[in-house]
Amino acid sequence: MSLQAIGLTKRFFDSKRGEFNAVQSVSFECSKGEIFGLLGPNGAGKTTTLRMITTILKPTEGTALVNGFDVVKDPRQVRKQLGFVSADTGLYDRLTPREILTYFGKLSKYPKEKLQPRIVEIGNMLQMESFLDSRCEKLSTGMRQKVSIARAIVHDPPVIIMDEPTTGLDVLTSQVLHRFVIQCKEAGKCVVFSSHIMSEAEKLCDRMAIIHNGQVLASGTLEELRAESGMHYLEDIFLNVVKETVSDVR
Amino acid sequence: MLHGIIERLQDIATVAGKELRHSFRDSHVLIYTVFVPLVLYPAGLVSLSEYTLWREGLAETRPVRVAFMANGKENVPELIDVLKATKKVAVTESVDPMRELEEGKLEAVIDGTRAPEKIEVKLNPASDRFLESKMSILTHSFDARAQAMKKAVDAAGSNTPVNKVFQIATTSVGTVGGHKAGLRDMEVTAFSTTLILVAFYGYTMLIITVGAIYPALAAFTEEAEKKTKSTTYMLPIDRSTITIGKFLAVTMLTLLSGAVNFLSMGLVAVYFTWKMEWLKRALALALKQYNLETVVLLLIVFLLSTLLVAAIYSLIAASAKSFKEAQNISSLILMVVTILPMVALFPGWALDMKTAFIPILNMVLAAKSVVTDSVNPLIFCLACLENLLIAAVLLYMSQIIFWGKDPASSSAEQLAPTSISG
Amino acid sequence: MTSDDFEEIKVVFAKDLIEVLRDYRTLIVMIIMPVIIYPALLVLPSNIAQHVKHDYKNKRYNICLIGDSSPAIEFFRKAKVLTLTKVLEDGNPDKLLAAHVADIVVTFPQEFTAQLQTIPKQSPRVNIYYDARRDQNLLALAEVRLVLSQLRGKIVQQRLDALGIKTPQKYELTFSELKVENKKSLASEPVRNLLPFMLFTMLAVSIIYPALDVITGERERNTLPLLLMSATKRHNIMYGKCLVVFLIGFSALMIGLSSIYIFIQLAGQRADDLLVMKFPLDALLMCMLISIPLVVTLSSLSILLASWCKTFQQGQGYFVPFLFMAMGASSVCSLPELQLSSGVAFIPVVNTALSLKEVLAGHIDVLWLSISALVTMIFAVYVTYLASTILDSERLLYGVTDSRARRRLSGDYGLEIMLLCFTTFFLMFYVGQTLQGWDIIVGSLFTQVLVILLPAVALLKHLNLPLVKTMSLKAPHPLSFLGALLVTPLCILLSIGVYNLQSQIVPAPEAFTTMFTRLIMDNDKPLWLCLLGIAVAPGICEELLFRGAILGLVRPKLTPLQQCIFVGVLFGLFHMSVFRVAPTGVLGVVLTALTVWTGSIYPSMLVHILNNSAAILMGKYHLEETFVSYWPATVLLGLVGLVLLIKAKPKKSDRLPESLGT
Repeated sequence: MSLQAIGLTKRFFDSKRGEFNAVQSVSFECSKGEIFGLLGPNGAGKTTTLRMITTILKPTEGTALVNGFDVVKDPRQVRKQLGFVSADTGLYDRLTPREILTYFGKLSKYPKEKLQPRIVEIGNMLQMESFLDSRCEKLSTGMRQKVSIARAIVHDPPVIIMDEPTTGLDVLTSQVLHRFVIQCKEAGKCVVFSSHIMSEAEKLCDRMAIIHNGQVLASGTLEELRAESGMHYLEDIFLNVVKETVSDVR
Repeated sequence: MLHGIIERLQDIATVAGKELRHSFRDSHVLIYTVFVPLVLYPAGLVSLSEYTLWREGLAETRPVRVAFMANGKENVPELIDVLKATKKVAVTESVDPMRELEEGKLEAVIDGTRAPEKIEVKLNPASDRFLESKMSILTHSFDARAQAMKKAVDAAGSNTPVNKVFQIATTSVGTVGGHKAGLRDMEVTAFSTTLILVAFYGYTMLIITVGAIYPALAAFTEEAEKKTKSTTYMLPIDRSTITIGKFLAVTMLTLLSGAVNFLSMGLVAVYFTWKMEWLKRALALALKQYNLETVVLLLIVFLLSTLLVAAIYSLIAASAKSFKEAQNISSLILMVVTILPMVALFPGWALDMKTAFIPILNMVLAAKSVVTDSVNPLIFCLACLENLLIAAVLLYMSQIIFWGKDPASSSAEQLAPTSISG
Repeated sequence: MTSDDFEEIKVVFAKDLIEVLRDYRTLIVMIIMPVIIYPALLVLPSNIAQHVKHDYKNKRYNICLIGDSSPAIEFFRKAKVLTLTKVLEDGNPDKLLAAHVADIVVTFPQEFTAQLQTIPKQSPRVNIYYDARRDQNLLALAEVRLVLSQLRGKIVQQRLDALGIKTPQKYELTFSELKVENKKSLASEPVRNLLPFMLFTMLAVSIIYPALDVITGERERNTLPLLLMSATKRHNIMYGKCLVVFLIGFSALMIGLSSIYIFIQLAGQRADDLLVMKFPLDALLMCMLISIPLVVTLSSLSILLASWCKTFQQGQGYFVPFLFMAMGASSVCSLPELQLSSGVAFIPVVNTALSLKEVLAGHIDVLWLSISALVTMIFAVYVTYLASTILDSERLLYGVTDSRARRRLSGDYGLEIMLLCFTTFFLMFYVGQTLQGWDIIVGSLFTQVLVILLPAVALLKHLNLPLVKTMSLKAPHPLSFLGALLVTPLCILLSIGVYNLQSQIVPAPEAFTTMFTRLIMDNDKPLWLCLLGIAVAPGICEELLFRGAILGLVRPKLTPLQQCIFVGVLFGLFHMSVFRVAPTGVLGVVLTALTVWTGSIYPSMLVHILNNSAAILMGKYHLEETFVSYWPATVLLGLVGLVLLIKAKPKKSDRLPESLGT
C-alpha cells in the first residue's frame, strides 16, 4: 500500500467555536497506480487531512504511512516520497520556473545530471516551454499553476498529493491537469486528489471518500457508492450522504 | 450645491469610519499607539536613570589616576593639593610614571619641572578616559591657579582686598513671564525652552516612526495587498472622496498616537522633574510662559505637523505595491525626517524667511518661536501655509498614484482626479 | 556535517541570493544607505557644530555702553564678537534694546574710573541688560562677561604691582599625547566611541530586510509549506538563508565602513583639537575582520526574529526593538576600562562591541579576540538552529493554537505571568511612585497591598485557582521556622557579599548607597511604622506575589531548579535597579528554594521580613560592619539552620502539588 491514513484526527481551537475536531478519525488507503479522491465541501477537513499527510501539521491522534514511512515518526523519509500541489501555495516571484524547478529538484535530491533533462521533459508534458525562463511575477494564474505542478513532480515522487489543484483554472488548463493526473496513474504513481468538483472526481478517481465536518461519511469506488445509495450521479450521491448526516445531527 | 457637499462629506465620513474601525482591529496599531508609549517612556526613563547612576558610581569609584614627575613636584604644590582634594582624581606615587602611563595604569602624568611657565601634562591617547582626564585636569588647574594667587597675596602679608573690583548684575528686559529676570532665569529659560523643543522634536519623531506608518499601511497598502482595491475602485463615489477619507483616518490615528505619546511623555517628565529642585523651577517657569494664545499656537503647529506626516506616509503607502516596499521607503524617509528637525535645537536657528520654507524643520522652528515668544505673524503664517500646501500636494499625489496604478483606470479620463482642495 | 549537508546549504544559499539580489530594494539598503547616509550621520553633527561655531565667530553683537565706560572701552573694542555701536553718558537701556539699537547694554556708574583707583567699601556695580528671549544672546552675554573679567584682571594686577606682590604669572597646562608607535589601529576617542555604535546600527538596518525577505517572505508568499515538505534538513535551509543574510550584511558593512573611512580622511581632520577624528587604515581592516562573527550573529538573530513573524508588517514591528537591542549591546563600549578578559568575551554580541573598542584603542589581544569570535560564532549556529525549529510552528503557519483552557490545564501559564509582570511594572511606575512620593512609609505600605498583592490575587481569582494551594499557604513542619530563622543571617551575609562582588563591575554612587539610610533617617515616623511599611508589608505581599502566585503558576512546567532561578531572576528584576539586581536576585533564589523545599510560603516570609528589618536597623544604627565581622558565627548558625531544614523536609504527600486544577 502506498498511502495509508489511519485514524487521523486534528483538533483546532477557535475563540468563537471553541475546540473542535477539524478532522476526526479519517482513514483511507491508496495504492500504486491508483487515483484516490477526497470529496467534500469547503471546510470539510480535506486540506487539513492532506497537510497532516504531508507532515506540515502534526496529527492530534492517528497517523499515516507513506510508502511504509510513518508521518509522525519518520517525517523526513515521508517527505522524500511526496509531491504536493495546491492552489494556494505561492511561487518565488523573482525566480524563473526553470530556477524554481532546479531548486526543488536539488533540495529533493534528484540526481544532478538528470535534473535538466527532467525539467525539459516536464516542460513538454505541461506545455510550459514558452515561459520556462521568464520571471514568475509576470505569469498568469494558469501558468503559475503549471509551475506549481511541475515543482511537485520534478523529483519524480512515488506519491502525489493534490489539494484542489483545479481551483481557479480555466477549462483548457484543467484539461492539461487532468491529462497529467492520468499520466501519473499510468506511470504507477499513487495520487491523492481533493476536490469539491464532482464531475472532476467522477472523471478521474478510481476510489473516493466523501468527507464532511471532518468525518469520512462514505467511501469506495464510484460503482460501490452508486450501489449503496441507489443514485447515479456523484453529485446526488454526495448531496444525499451529506444531507443524511445533517438530519442525523438534528 | 449644498446637498452635493453634504453628501460628499458623508461619504468621506463613511470611508474614514471604515478605516478607523479597520485600523483599530489591527493589533499593530493598538500596540504602537497605546502600549508602546505607555511602557516605552517609563522603561526608558528607568534605564536612563539607572545608567546615569551607574556612570556616577564608576566615576566615584574609579577616579582619574594621576602621577607627578618626581623632580617637578615642589613647583606645583597647589595643583597637587587641588587634585588630592577632589574625589574624581587620585594622585598616586609612581617610580616610573611614563611606563605606567603607557601600560594604562595611569591616566595622566604631570611634569612640573619647568613650572610655573610650563606645566606639561602627558596623556595616553589609547586610554578610554583620554578626554575625561584632559577635561578633569584642565578644570582643576583653574582652581590651582586661583589658589596660587591667593597664596601669593597672603604671603605678602597684605590684607587689602585686591580682588574686590566691581560687581556684575544681569537683567533681562521684556522677558518671559512679563517680569524682568536675571541671568539665572535666562539659563532656566534656555533650559525650559530646550526641554519643550526636545519634547516637540521627540513627538514629531515618534509619530513619524510609529504613529503614522501603520494606519497609513492599513488604509492604502492593504487595499493593494489584500486585493480589495478593485472593489473600492468600483464604488459609485468619487475616488478623491475615498482618498480624503483614508487620509483623514490616518491623520486622526496619528493625532491619537501623538496625544498618547505626549501624555505619557509628559507624565514621565513630570515625575522626573519633580524629583529635582532645579528642574522643578525650570518647569514651573516654562509653564508660566503659557497663556491661551501660546497654547493655541502650539496646538496649530502640532496639528499641522501631524497633517504633514500623515500626508507623507499616505503617499508612501499609496505608492507602494506591498508592505515591504512601503517599509523600505519609509526607513529612508525616517532618516531624513529625524535629522532635519534636530537643527532647530541649536541656538541661533530661528524661523525666518529662509527656514520657513523647509518643511518639517519649519514646524519645529515655529514651535520654538512660540515658546521663546518671538512669533513673527507673517513668517509663522507662511510656514503654516507652506506646510498645508505640501500636505495637500502630497495628498493629491497619493490620489494620482494610488488610483493611477490600477490597470482598470488606465484611460486618461478616469485618471484625472477631481479637485481635492475642497 | 556531511558533504550532503554542505550541498543542501549551498543550494538554498544560491537560490536565496539570486532572489534577494533581484530585489532592487535590497540593493538600495546595501549600497545607498552605507555610501551616503552613514558617513553623513557621522560627519554631519560635527559639521553642523563647525558651522554653528563659524556662525558665532562671524556673528557680531551690537553693544551699547552707558555711563563712565572709559576703563573698559579698550577691552570692548578688542573683543571680536562685539561691535560697539554707541557709547553714551546717559541713557535708558530698555529703550535701546527695544529699538534694536543694541543686543546688549552695559551700564557703568558715573564715577567708575575713580572708584577703581581706590578700594571702596561698597564695590561699584556694572549692569548688563539683554533680551532673554533670544537664545543666541547667551553667547553675547558670555562674551561681555569675559571682557569684564579681563578688565578686572588688569585692575587686580595693577593693585598687586602697587603693593609689590609677585604672583605666579602663569599656571597654565600644556597637554601632550604619549607617542604610541606600536599601536597602529589606534583611532581617536570620538571615533572609538561612535564607531561601534554606528556599526551595530548599520548592520541591524542592512540585515533586517534581507532576513525578512528570505524567511517571512516564504511564509507570506506561502512557499514555506513546500520548503518544509522537501526532504532537506530544516536547519540546513536556515544555514543557507543565514549565509545569504550574512553576505548582504557584510557587504553593506564593508561599503559602509569604507565610506566612513574615506569621509573621515577627507572631512574629519577639520574638526577642532578636542574632537579630532582619526581612523587609520589598520583600524579599518581590523574592524572588518572583527565584525565577521558579529555579522553572522546578527544575521542569525534577525533570522530568528523573521521566523517569528507571520507578515512583513509584523516584522517591521519587531524591527524597532531589534534595532534598540543592537544599539544597547554596543553601549558596553561606553564603560571605561572594561576588558574582554574580564569575562565579557563569553557574552555573545556584546563581546564583539568590546573587541571593536579594544582594537580601536590600539590594543590587540589575539587570544581574547579569538575567544570572543568563537563564542559569537557558536552562538550564531545555535540561534540559527533554534530558528529552524520555529519555522514549522503550526501557530505561525496556519494559526493553529490550543484553547486557553487546554493550555492552562497543561500548566502553561506563560501568558498570564507576562501579563502579571507587565501590570505590576506599570502600576509600580505610575501608582507606586505617586504613593511613595507622597509618603515613603505609608505609600510603600499602600503600594505593597494595592500594586503588588492585589493584581496577583485578582489573577488567581480570575483563573479560578485555589488561593491556598497555589500560594502554598499551609503550615510547614514547625522545625522549618526555626531553620529559616537561623538561616536568615546567612542570607543577609550572602546578599551583602553579592552586592560587594557586583560593585566591582557595577559600582553604586554614593547618592544611591546613602539613599536608603536617608529615607529612614529623614522621616519622623516611629520605628514600628517603618518596619511595618518597609519590612513586614513587603515580606508578606512580595512573597505572596513571587513565592505565591508566580511560583504557583510556573510549578507545573518547570523543574524545582528552574523554578528557583526563574522566580529569583524575576524578583531581582522587579527591584528595577542595576545595583540591586544581583543581590535581590540571589535572595530571590534562596527564598524560592526555601518555599519549594518546605512546601510552604511562611518560612520565606519570615526570612524576607527579617532581612528587610535587618537592613533598616543596620542602616539606622550603622551596624553593617559589625555584622559582617561576626561572619563565622553567622555561617555556623546558617549551617545549623540548614540541618534543621533538611530534617524538616516534608513527606512526599505534603510537598507542593504540581497540577493546579481546581
